[in-house]
Amino acid sequence: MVFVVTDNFIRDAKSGAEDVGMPMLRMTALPADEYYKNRYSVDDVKGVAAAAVDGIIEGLTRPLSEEEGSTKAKEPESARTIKITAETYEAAVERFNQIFVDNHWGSGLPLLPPTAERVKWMLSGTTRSPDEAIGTVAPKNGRATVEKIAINAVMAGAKPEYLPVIIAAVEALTDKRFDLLHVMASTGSFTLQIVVNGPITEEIGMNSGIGLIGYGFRANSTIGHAVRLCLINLGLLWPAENDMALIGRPSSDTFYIFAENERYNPWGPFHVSLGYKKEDSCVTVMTVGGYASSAVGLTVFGGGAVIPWKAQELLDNIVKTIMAGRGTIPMWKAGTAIPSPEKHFLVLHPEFAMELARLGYTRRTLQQYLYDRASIRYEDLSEKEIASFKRRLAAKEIPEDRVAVFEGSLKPGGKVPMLLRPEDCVVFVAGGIPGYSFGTSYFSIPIYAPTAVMTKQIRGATLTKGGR
Amino acid sequence: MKGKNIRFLTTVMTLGFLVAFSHVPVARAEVTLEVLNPRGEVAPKSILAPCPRIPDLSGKKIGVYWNSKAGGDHFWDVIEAEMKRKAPSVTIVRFGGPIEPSDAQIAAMTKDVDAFFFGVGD
Repeated sequence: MVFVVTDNFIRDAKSGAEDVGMPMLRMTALPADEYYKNRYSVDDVKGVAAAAVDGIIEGLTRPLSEEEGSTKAKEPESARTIKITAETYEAAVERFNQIFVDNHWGSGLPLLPPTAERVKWMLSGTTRSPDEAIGTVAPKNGRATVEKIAINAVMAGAKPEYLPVIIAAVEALTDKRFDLLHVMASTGSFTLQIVVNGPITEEIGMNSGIGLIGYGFRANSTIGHAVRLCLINLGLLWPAENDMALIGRPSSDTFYIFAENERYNPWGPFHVSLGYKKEDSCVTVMTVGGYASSAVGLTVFGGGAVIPWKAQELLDNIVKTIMAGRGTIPMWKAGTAIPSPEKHFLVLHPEFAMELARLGYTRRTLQQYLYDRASIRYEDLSEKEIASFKRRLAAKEIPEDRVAVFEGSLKPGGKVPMLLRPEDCVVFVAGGIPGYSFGTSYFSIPIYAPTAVMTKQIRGATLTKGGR
Repeated sequence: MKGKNIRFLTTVMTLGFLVAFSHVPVARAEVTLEVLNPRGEVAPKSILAPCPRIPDLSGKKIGVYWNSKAGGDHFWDVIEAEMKRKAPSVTIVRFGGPIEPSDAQIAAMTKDVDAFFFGVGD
């Protein structure tokens, strides 16, 4: 086999080949500065292809060298500690920071040195054993243990009482059902949103009010940064090597991280809606974002202190946002870059949530309302859209429990939903008063694993009542 | 004369001491920071070597897989035409599908071909 990629992805390709035990896989690289702009048509791309064909054929026909035929594996890294020497403590910390960012062991922000004493202090925040294996982290499947997570938490400047939250977040991200690979490696600007529920949020001082996705709260910022460092160091990830986000990922150093404002949630906390008890503390991680400019980052639906608003306007804006994805219907195909319709993560500010409750909405009826409004009359569908829905049904890409709904709607008089199910509007309540309601979205059925939303209970806390 | 000799000797001795002391090493303080390795250990895996190469394209069946990213099929259309021009007896079999085809899909695609291209539109 010969692997054909563009040259700016060759490091990524070699890294991927190593990951699957094929370090000597033959590759041919096309010039990226010529390929992308000329791939529109056969005539446009003729020059690029003609220039590449001899190299491509040579990859198939040149006999393997002795080195290529070797099956000897590289020795894995195994040093437990790293020593840094300097004239003064300050110089040693500076050198530590430089060494770590030069070796791709940090995010670029200043780090605290993870000395044995400091890591031991961090581990005092959990009853869980340092050797406990939490999972493996894509793309290179480095092993996440409680100790490794604690090391990265120290580097981020977290406190021991935050560690159980960080461990639960990594547990969620490394669950085999969660598609971590796509958000780590994609050329698109996907990122993570991390929502924390339960009593632990107040105990550790997480922000759930004004400025909820901003700065100023050590818990929010360092938990998010610790998760980012875990992904870099346990997934062995680096920009333009195997994290190919072309413009980077929004809020890349800490992700979007906040606590739900449970006090103002008229429908009860999010984790309780999943079946957890109110006194449980949980972390929910979700991939959000997209490839194209309109899908990257957040969409604000309305609210605020500047212009008076009515609940119906915000509902209309949410529906408009869901319907903005209509252009992708013909592209929905499992396993491709646009694998499915989207799931929408709605963060409703307290006034809006309370107003909706006053108008009689429950979480369920709100989801149903949005699902119904974001449906298209069969008569208004284009031929390509109808063909796409039918293809997905035939290829069994629509979950079994929704097949009857789609089959029933794909006929005159029917209304075909944009969402797979009403629950694909996931509703959180967070922010302050006044506030804005905002939303993010991501594919309902991702590319490499069944889901991109995962909730885990926080366990093993020693310094807080929540999360024990 | 005696005073002059004493002053001369004093000057020479002072200069001598200064030269001597300038070469005495000064003890420098050193701090060693020992930190724990934050990196995840990657389990060793068995390594696969590439398959033997074909000598040329003549009479061969070549599979071409494209991962469906937009525009790449145009590229492979040209490559197919060029390979047929260079080796008229070659057969090109085109496949398209997900970014990560399953083992079963790969087995089905590769079972009857002599060599294979896997195209990634990134």
